[in-house]
Amino acid sequence: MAQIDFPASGLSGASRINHELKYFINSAPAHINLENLDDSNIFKWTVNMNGIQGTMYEGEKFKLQFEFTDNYPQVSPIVKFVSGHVPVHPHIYSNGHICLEILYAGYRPEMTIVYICLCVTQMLNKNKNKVVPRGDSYYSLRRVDRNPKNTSWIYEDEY
Amino acid sequence: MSDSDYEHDDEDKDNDDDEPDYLSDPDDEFFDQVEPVLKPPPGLMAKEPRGPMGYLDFKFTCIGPDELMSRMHDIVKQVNAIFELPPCTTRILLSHFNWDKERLLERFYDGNQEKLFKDAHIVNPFRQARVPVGNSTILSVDVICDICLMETSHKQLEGLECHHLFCIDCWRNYMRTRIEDSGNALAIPCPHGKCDILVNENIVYRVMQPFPDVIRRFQYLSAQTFVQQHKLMKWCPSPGCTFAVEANSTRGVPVMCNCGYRFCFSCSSPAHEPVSCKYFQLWVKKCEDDSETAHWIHANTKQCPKCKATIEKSGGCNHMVCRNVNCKADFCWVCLGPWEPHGSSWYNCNRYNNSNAKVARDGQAQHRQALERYLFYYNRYVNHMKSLKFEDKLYAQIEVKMRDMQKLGLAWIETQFLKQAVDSLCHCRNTLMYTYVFAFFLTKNNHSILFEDNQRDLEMATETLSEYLERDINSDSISDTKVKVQDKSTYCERRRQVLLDYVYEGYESDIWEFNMM
Ligand SMILES: [Zn+2]
Ligand SMILES: [Zn+2]
Ligand SMILES: [Zn+2]
Ligand SMILES: [Zn+2]
Ligand SMILES: [Zn+2]
Ligand SMILES: [Zn+2]
Ligand SMILES: [Zn+2]
Repeated sequence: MAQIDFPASGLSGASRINHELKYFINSAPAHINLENLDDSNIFKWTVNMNGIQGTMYEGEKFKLQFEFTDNYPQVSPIVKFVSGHVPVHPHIYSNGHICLEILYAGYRPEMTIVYICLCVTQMLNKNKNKVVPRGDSYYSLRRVDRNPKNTSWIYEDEY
Repeated sequence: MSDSDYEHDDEDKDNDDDEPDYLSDPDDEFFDQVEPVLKPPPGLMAKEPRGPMGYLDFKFTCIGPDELMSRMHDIVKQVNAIFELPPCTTRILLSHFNWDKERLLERFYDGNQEKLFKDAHIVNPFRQARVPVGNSTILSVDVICDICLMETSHKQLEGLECHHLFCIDCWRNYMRTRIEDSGNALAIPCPHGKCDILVNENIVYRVMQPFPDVIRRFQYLSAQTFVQQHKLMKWCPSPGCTFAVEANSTRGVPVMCNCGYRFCFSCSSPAHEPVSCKYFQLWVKKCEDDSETAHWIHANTKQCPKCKATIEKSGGCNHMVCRNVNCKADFCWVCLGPWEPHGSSWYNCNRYNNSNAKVARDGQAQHRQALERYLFYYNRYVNHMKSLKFEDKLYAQIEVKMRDMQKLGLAWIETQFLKQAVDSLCHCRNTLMYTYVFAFFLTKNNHSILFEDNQRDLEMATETLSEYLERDINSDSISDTKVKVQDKSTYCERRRQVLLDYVYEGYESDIWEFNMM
């Protein structure tokens, strides 16, 4: 297929990420904050996330990682927990991969980084059963592909 | 397909320019009073009395790639003549119902319409507040586009009926990404994270107008999705063929594409009449599993039953004449028996002889008998398959013959009977091939014996035609050849039709008993 020149100026991933960065620093909810962002690479974010009071995750700390491409926000970022900082949850694998539809097939460009963080938070808040997913050791050990977007997910619950 | 199936053809309204006035009134109470459009036109829902469809009622037609879009628009128009909805909305509704317009009409008039539109991911067109999208003059202030987070003039905003507005550049990038990556052009959602309203063709054409390549890809994907969703349409499975076939039922009967390829409309496998899809698949599986045991018996060479000279088969005809000039034995390639009875009424080559099998059983294990039985049918199945492959050679020979005839003054059209005869021969061989699969699974009863009689008649007729076309054709004059070829191929076609009618009527009256083996 022939390539068409698309209006790219001002719409590249960097432009939107910079906008979101300002917004995130100024008005992100209290339980999330951005870890030392490398100015030379704004395409990789690590978000510190605190478990919400009154939920099963109260007092715990997690790290959620975002990797963007230049096609962001048209193409979804890779979102996963950093291993070693992964919540125990029936839909979160111990390698950090998250079974959440909005991160894959349900993703839309209008969703912001804050919105995605809130969806993940809500997923934690709603949980009543702190167990690893079925087949976790199988998936987490054999899943050589570090990109959860290459997994075919089946979504069991709505969050 | 007959036109009577689609009786609302003639009415052809363009609803886009012609929207009823009340649609622009966003007042909900007002709608509650104005429901006339929601009632079905009189007589519409009265269902035609329809008996069970017989196999002779099966009809199909082949649709070229250029006609697909207009076929899709035809269906939209037929429904729109009743609905009075924007065509792009109707198209999404139809896609939601896999292009089954009767089911859509039923749901539209019988059920909860609010839910129908919600399930189909469209904004209820009767409740839309019609603020013109994209060319608003009300607001001239700049707003922030929620995708690029940049200030945009309000004039540059675009959106669907859900009124989630984004700048045109973001829409373009979004659609390009989705249309290039997605397999289903009719299932692109609004870019808003909490909205499942589907992108319709109007906004694609409006926004992507400067990018004809993307529009072409969108149309291509729409046609692909249309055929995939439509239960009565199938792509021709022949590699590289871009035709689709539309039929009036999903029966497992063969259809022929304009490219010449014959395939089963239900399972898209190569045509396998008279055996049903289920037993065809079982057979394919069995042949794969048993191929090791089966192969040894199907080497391409056999020994002359009389002089033991090695004979290689070079044509489709099963009447073998030993090449050993001192022997010249006539025999049947399949059963290695003398050929003579094959041309007469005591022809028995197609019938698995159970009394022979009984003798075999006396000294041998049961599975050995099962294998023998399987090989009996497999042997005959494969033999017709191989003969079918040889008929390619026959087409070439016949081509030469046809050119010779033209040199002798016959018009091209007058020589076509030869090609048609080879076509008939191929159809008969293909059917015969699968009669052995059918017979393999068939439980013996009075009907199965009649079936075998039909099979025998078709096989005899086919072998006679095959032999004539391959061998004796050169010894006759043109006029004799024409008469003989036409007689023999007409007879073959008739035998084939008799056999198929018997089998399919048998399916309908449930006389066949099958054994899964
Ligand atoms: Zn899950
Ligand atoms: Zn929307
Ligand atoms: Zn924008
Ligand atoms: Zn074809
Ligand atoms: Zn089939
Ligand atoms: Zn011989
Ligand atoms: Zn024989």
